[in-house]
Amino acid sequence: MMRTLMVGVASLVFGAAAAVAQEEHAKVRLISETKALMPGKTAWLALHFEIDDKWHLYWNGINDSGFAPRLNPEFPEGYKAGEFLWPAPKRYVQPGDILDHIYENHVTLMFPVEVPGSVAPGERVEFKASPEWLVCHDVCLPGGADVKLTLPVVDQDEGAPASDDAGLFAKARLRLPKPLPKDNVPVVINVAEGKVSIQAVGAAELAYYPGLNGVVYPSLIKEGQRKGDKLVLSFRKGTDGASRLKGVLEVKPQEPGEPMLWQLDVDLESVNKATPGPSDTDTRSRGD
Amino acid sequence: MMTLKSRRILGLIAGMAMMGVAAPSLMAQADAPRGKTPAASQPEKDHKDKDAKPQKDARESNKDGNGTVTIGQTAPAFELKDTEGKTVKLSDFAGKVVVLEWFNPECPYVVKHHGEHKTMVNTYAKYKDKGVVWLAINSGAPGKQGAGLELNAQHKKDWKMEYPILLDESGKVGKAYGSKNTPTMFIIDASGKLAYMGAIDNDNSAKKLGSINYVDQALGQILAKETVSSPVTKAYGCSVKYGGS
Repeated sequence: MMRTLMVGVASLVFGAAAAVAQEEHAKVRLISETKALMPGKTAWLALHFEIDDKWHLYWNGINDSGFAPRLNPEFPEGYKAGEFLWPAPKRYVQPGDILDHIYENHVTLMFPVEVPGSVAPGERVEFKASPEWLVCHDVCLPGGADVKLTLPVVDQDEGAPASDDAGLFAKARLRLPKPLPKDNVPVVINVAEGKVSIQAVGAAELAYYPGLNGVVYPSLIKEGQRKGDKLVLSFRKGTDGASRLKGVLEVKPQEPGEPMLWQLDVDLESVNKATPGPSDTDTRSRGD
Repeated sequence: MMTLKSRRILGLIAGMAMMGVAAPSLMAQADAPRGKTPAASQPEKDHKDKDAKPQKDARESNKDGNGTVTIGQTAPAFELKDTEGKTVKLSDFAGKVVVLEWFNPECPYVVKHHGEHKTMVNTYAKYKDKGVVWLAINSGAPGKQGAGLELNAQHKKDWKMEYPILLDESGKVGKAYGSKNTPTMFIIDASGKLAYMGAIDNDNSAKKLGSINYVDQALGQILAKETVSSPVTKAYGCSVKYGGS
């Protein structure tokens, strides 16, 4: 009780001093990778969230609860925000077989903006957005903010130098899944009897994060992560007939080092049909 | 799947002022129970619920349900006490259409549909004279957010809920129905079979209302003896605050 009371008092003092009248647990900024825009070029902007210890935000794949952040941009005429590039999340299991995929500590949600070729160097462009999110610990709080960012337009010859936040973009890219290469495919996918096996030879541990608009995984809470180089996931078609394995595979190597993150998008109905022979013949998945 | 696509619907949200999570609730931290803080603990009430019979696990074969229960199956029986201490059994309502609403008064999504909008009580009001029974069920464990007799009784009063809130502190009824979110909605038809499960509407924002109220739509169809057009949707909201680790 004493502790709670002190927290309350501290919050009030802080609230008064900083005129922050809300409990936040996640702070957001609208950031740019470069200090300026160039006519006709793609600029990379992002929502960067700093998340309080023990609290989390949500990935936009399949979750049992929560809500993935929305940008809600109000950009000037001619500027359109592309989709977020979602970094690979972390699995989060709660009592009652509740499986979510989350971000902790911080997350940078990058998105491209095409700069019109018609803008003139010297102009200043103001980007505004009203992002909303849900931040949760044992409890959930909806969050929202009005953010803005003003960037000058410079000549292409002049070039746009990296901003102070460029490091955050570089860090975010390390957690972005890559499409599977066409050759020397590092992941082998097989389908048999309502199960898909996903193998990355030599891996120490695998985790699968289910994306939207694919098949349904009834037992992902048990099957979605395991030691070794092979995951076997039960699946069935979506009620709309979706038959694709759509999601992200995280491959932890046996040696110390960064995990690999693969974007999987494979039609499970076509797996094992491309090659003649028994149904359990290895079929190399294509990174389409 | 509609349910998945609905997650992609982007909506412009006007006025992102946070729902009541302003100075007053910071002050509420000092007198814990009503505050939206993780530390807010509810006094444990001696309110034991009777065990619901868990259904067999139908996860592997279930195409028309949520992984635990299936559309068309007999709804799991239960017997729980409401906030007034009255015992309520599902079997009390044999022959009637029954709506179950998974409830946690401190979940922002429940606040959306009770505190800011009157989705639940308005939908109930539309159908109560047609013999539809509506029951809210709170499966939060003692000490978790939104649990506790007094807190729920207070919200029932504040939000003018004319239907009971049943306390399922062991979580057995919630788990028997595979309810993972507040709110999750179920409709049981007059023959006792599950006819709808999922979300109340089609916008998973904590602020914005969806354009389709699935429960309204399904109740209209059930009472008109029509086929329910969307019997399963993806529920959204907070996680149910079950006990355990």
